[in-house]
Amino acid sequence: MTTLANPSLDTPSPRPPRSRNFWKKQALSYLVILPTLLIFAVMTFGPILTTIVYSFQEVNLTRASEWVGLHNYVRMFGNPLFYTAWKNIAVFLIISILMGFMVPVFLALMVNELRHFGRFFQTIVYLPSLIPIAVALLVWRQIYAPDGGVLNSLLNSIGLPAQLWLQNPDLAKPAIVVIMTWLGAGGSVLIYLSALQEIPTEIYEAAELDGFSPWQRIWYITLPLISSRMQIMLLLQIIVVGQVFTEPFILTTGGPANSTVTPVLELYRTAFERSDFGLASAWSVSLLVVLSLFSIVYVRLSLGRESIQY
Amino acid sequence: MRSKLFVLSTLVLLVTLVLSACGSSATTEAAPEVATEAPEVEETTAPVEEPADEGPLPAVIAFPAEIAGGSPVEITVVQKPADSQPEAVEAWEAQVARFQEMYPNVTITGTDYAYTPDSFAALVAGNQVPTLFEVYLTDPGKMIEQGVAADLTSIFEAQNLDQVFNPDIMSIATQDGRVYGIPRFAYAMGLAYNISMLNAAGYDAPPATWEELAVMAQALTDRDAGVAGFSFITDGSGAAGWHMTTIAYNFGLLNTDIVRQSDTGYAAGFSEGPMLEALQFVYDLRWTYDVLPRENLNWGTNGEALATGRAAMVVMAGDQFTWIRQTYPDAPIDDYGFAPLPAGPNGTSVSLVGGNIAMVSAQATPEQVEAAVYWRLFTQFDPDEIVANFESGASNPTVVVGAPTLPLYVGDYEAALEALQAQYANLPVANYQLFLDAISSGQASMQPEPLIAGQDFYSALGAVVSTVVNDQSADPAAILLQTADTFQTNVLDQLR
Amino acid sequence: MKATANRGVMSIVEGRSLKGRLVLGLFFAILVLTGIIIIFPFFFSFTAGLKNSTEIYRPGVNLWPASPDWGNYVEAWRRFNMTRMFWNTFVVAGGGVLAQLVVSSLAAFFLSRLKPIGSNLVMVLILITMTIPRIAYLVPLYMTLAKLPFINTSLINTFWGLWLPYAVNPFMILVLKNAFDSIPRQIYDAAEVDGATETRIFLQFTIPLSASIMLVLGLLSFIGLWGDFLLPLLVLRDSSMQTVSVRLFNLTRDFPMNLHMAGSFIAMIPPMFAAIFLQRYMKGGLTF
Repeated sequence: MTTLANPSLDTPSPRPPRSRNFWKKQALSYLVILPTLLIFAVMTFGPILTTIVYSFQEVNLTRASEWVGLHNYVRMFGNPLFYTAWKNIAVFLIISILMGFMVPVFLALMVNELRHFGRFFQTIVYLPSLIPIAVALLVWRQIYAPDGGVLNSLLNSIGLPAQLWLQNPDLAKPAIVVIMTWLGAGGSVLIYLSALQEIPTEIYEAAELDGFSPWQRIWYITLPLISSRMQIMLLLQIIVVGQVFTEPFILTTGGPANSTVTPVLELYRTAFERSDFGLASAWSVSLLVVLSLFSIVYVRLSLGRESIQY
Repeated sequence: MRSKLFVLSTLVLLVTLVLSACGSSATTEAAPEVATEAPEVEETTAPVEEPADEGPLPAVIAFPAEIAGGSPVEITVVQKPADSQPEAVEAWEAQVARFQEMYPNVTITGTDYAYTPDSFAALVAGNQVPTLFEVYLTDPGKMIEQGVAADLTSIFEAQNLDQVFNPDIMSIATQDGRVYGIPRFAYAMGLAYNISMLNAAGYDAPPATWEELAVMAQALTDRDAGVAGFSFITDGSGAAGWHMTTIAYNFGLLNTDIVRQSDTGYAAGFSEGPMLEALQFVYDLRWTYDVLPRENLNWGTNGEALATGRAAMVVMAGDQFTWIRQTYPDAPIDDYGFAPLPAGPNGTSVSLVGGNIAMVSAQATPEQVEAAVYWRLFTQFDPDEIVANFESGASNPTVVVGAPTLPLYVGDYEAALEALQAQYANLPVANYQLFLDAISSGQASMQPEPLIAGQDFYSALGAVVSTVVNDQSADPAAILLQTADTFQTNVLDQLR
Repeated sequence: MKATANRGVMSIVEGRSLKGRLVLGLFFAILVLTGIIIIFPFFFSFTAGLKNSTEIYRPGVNLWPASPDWGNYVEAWRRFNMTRMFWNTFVVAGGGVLAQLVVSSLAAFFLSRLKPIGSNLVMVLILITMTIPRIAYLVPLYMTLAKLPFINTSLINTFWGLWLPYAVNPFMILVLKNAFDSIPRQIYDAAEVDGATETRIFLQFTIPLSASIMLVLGLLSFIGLWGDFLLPLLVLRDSSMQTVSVRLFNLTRDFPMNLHMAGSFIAMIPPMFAAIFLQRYMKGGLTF
């Protein structure tokens, strides 16, 4: 299993004699991987390289593209929206970590303690993860509706003031993070649950005998034992939040007052609304740099464990 | 057990895929089998020598005996109704069948793609531009410049069409004396209002000035009932910029000032003056008078606000009444009136004029161009087709006649068409008299949409609108200035 | 779920003490409350779909309509052409999963069993793709699909335009390699003695022995692809080919909100069944 971490450390088998049969086998082996390599080349490596090339060009769909040097980057860095978008992502991330990161941990801990209904709650919590996000957002938009929306009506009925959930620049981000948590918590709960169930019960029994209270057991045993999972989930969250697009695209079109503009949303608009593919590629490269940094750490951490979070 | 399940599900998938391969190819063909009960007018298949003046409409087009010399031509065209309107799809297919009776060598595939500036760029990038497509009046220049639209001059000259269309609209489809588009329809912006709501609040006429509008809107706003006095598109998209421009025209903004063209290039000219005044007014509507819906409405929800009684006065293009009729068949359509926009500080009401223009893909062969243009002209000018369409309104709820749009043609043809429309109108045309009179008397003057990078301007301005109506601490002047700056460097300086 | 482990952090004895009961009761209450919050949007869209086009905007907590209009559901199903929508989504997601499984299992077999010279390099390439999210190269990917290199075909507006990009799933390759690695060597050795070719070994041993993990992987991928939005939004242009999420989004403009909510609720029903069906596979969680 550890071979994943370092593929080059495969048990070195004694070299077989390089007969004609050997080379034939080599060739046949590559025949097996050929479709994969081809698809990866065309669908992944090609586009990645093209992104970098495009970012230095004025891309024209009907004429030949022209090299423009760093021009696209100058325009990108000169656009205040660039900083707004990345700042928004940073804020999204902070809110989502504060509001959403620990929620699945708590839920998993509680579900794990229940003697009955555990499976039931697990299913309920997981349910939103299965809904197509676009459909979920259309429903949430109605729930958040400011004039006579059901959430505001509920607040009113218990004597609280109505809020402009998606129209107030200060509230729009938290309101979106609530939806993101609703959508994403289920998967994390399952992952934490499986981690909790991997913990041998003998450890708790021993700790109980040593006089540790349940809370101390959680603090000194459970949390440390699932902390590597939590690290991985944290990175995954960073990578997912870094790519936020659908929520602002469907709910706010980047508003109010640009408070939910994200790099991917701006990339989409630059490319597919304004046909400015060169500038869009510069945005892509900025995303590539930032997200890849976190992804590399994430992949390393995942591979470092004996199993892979999927 | 599990492996059995696995094999089973794989099998199901395989079967699915095989089936779907057949299924999708079958549906892309426009079923030619659909009832072809066209009026028995086979004579029209022969070239029309002379316009016969017997019918309700003069025949302006002399349809040729054959297209592309009779060799097979395949074209894809927009404006096929979506599956969600089965009656309309059936009518469309019948129309295709009638066209194919005239020109059996032409195969027409329809798509229900509806033009939006944001989705069209992806079509161009994806090599998916239909043979015949439509764009907003802001965009022909861009299409011509990008080399997306084909030159249609020869057919236009052969059919003398330049004398039929409204020259103001024709000029937008023309560049350097070459014609690239066929005008489809034109609208002018106006103020739609709920007559009973106004009456209930003691008003017997829509507002004449914007100050009046603010005061009236205040009286009409009823938060507890979820009613806003006044509404326009504020969702931060290009459509919000479109409505904002409409309002600013009434404050004195000239479309030629939005982007000023000089020898040295293009300069953004909307960072102050009338645009700023209009923006300040919008800010006041939200934060002083407080008459706007709390939600940031888009094109659909803005029309819906009128149709569901949640807004008393709404900025709208007249053609949206057609959409209201189709989408909300139960809405009290007789309750809605249509008036020119209120007059601005200098006393005149200005209406933004827009519309759609049909264009043909530059990638089409000459034969395809010919087929596409004649298909367009057939649906737009063939007298029997027009009458048949109007008549089907009786049984087909999606055929709506009588929306207050702008005259697309000039002279006798326009007069005859209007008379015919009046006969078949199923919208309360009398409710739109204020608007129609203001247009025909010139009391409301017209101004086209911004033509240089128009859609880019709209989307930049849309974000400004979103900021102003959502952020009380926003400073309209500062935001407008900053937006104009970014627009200058990111859009205008990129134009050649 | 608790078939073997009969305790959590607290022992059964602790759970039966007064304090333990209180804590467990509190947990239960919190979970019930959370459950209600989680379920609420489903319930909301269900009842909103029963209202008429103006009632849906009436202020106040009107959770249940005055006179429920069940016809909305029929109407939404018919006018949105939801049969077609579900079918498209099923074909898109199913084809994508199939492509992933084929491509990934071949690659995993290559990495785990064949291991020719240079397979480490292939491994590195696959690891690299894991570190670069697709969103970062979306623009050229779209252009590639619009005009495939060498054969100059456009995959826009075809299901292939989704199946091919979906086929790239480096995580699945690694998980499968992991699974293939754990197949006992003796099985392969015995097969080799019998003179089995690699093709036969792959089809008769490797795949059947990993079938359950492939099923779980396939299900998880299927769910992910079922709800995918951005790529289908760009690739599927014809409304008759669009998936549930793209089509419902595009339809917002031309239908009243009550029909929309009815359509949304219908779109949520299959995932609800999937959740119940998936329960039994959730045991090991989603880790391998």
